[in-house]
Amino acid sequence: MACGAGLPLFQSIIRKHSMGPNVVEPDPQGELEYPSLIERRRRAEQVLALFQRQHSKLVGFLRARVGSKAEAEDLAQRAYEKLLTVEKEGTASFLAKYLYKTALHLAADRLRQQVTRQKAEAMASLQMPQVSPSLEPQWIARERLALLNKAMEELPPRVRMVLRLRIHEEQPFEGIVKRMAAEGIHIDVRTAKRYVSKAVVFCEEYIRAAERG
Amino acid sequence: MESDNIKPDAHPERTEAARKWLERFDAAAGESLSQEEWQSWDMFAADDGNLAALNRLAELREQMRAAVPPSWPSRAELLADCSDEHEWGAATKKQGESARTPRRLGLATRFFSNWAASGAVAVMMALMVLFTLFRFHLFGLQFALSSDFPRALSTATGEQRRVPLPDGSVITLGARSTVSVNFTGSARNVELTSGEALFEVARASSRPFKVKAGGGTVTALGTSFNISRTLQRVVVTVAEGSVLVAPQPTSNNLVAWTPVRVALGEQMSYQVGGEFASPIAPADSQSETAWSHGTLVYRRRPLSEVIDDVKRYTDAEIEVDDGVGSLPPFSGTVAVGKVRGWIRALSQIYPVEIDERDDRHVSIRLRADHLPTPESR
Repeated sequence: MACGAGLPLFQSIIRKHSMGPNVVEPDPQGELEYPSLIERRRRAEQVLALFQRQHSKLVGFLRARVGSKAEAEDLAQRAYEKLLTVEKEGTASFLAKYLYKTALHLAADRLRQQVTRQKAEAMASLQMPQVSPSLEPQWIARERLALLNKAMEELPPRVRMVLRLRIHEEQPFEGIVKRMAAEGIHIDVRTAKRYVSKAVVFCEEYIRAAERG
Repeated sequence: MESDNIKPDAHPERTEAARKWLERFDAAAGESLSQEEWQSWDMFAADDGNLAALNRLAELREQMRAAVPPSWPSRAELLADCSDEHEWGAATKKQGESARTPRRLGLATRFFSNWAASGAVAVMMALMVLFTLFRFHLFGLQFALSSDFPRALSTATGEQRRVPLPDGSVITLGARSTVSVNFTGSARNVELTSGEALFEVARASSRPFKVKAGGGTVTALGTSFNISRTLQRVVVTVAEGSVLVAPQPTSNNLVAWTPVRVALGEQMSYQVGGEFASPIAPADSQSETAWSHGTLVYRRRPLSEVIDDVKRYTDAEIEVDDGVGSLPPFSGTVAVGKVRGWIRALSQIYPVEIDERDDRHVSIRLRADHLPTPESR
């Protein structure tokens, strides 16, 4: 389903890797430093097959974690790219596991960088004068946005507060739990997470009901 | 786009399964799964419908960031909210009835606790109600025709609201802003008592659309314009057509400044209740109205004025030291939901100290090494 979108970029990666510096000087010991062209081509085919079967799953898997479609696509691309260069031989199911593992590693790396990046972004938004808001198009129809605003207001107070802390203030769940405790509401991380996910479902149903009329 | 695919949810069980994964993955960016979890993920993801449900929920969660943050519940509301597991689950399922009932209770508690908290607001609202009743009495006929349309509109901290008026005009209210609306057969009068509003005015030459704000009157000449009011200054920016800005005559009939016509892409400002008005200057009407899309954009505005403006988007009380007025003006953007982060970051570009005593109190002070020396005073 979602395979189409990432395909051209992916093909260019494949091309890069299956051509590349294809002649490796045979060394005296007869050991190759790089996988041979044939090996690289075979790997590229394997990865392409993997891409076709796994791409939408992988992106869905990552998107729910990192909270951004673009970032999920990007992580997935990098994971394929990594996979093309690993030297391990493996069956399709082994490679699929490896793909997910690599993507998770990349996501964890990115998470570590996030603190620094957020700081940099805060600085950039301060220093960059005249940023037109049209640079960041909000891909959401006006009517739908209005409904979403309404739906969020309809949430029960505790859920509303947790949602705002999570989505708009971008607080970690541990921070949210402390903040709620300061208000006299004692919930654990699991409950806070459940509130957020249920709030999303609630808003979806609210919007759906309203659109149906 | 994906959001167009939303049809009646024919598969609530898929949505619920997707919700569980959304919850499992939330804030778990690089976390691996256990053996069993891998298996159940494989089973879940083997079905395209499941995956589509997960993507739909993830997309909505991303879109929430673009939405206006929901209002903070009051403490009373939080404590009264006994939405434990079961009720909340039920509320999600039967959204139509059961979700609204607690909300209505919540609204009432919030309303009253706010009243108790700020007597001034209560007095103001009471005055507005009286004013409205008085008008109602005078123009009974007109109001009978459009009885459900509100007279006084105000927004809470961080809230924005788009209000269509019966004549087809639309007012978009910024956070912590109040307007009162008084339409008669021959005039459309609006008063902006605080905050900021974007006016998109429907043409009706026989009924001029006038907005009073801080000692000036802005008359629309078929147009869309933004008025932002801080404690000291009113800024008028025109995005479409033109407006006439004139001072309100004072008691001794002196005119403080000359009325001016402000056209498309221009801006002017005047002192609240004062005698000064700025000359007309070119403006980027897109930036001036960007707040209605969740971004506050400033170009060379005095820092103290910017802080005054962003205050409307945070619950915290912000104290600003006098010295801050002497700092260079600010240009840049502030995301509506991230005002606190912006304030924290201020110390990186201005010589200021940010002191966050607790969640509700922030003070911004000039750093010691930048305080004026005794000699220079």
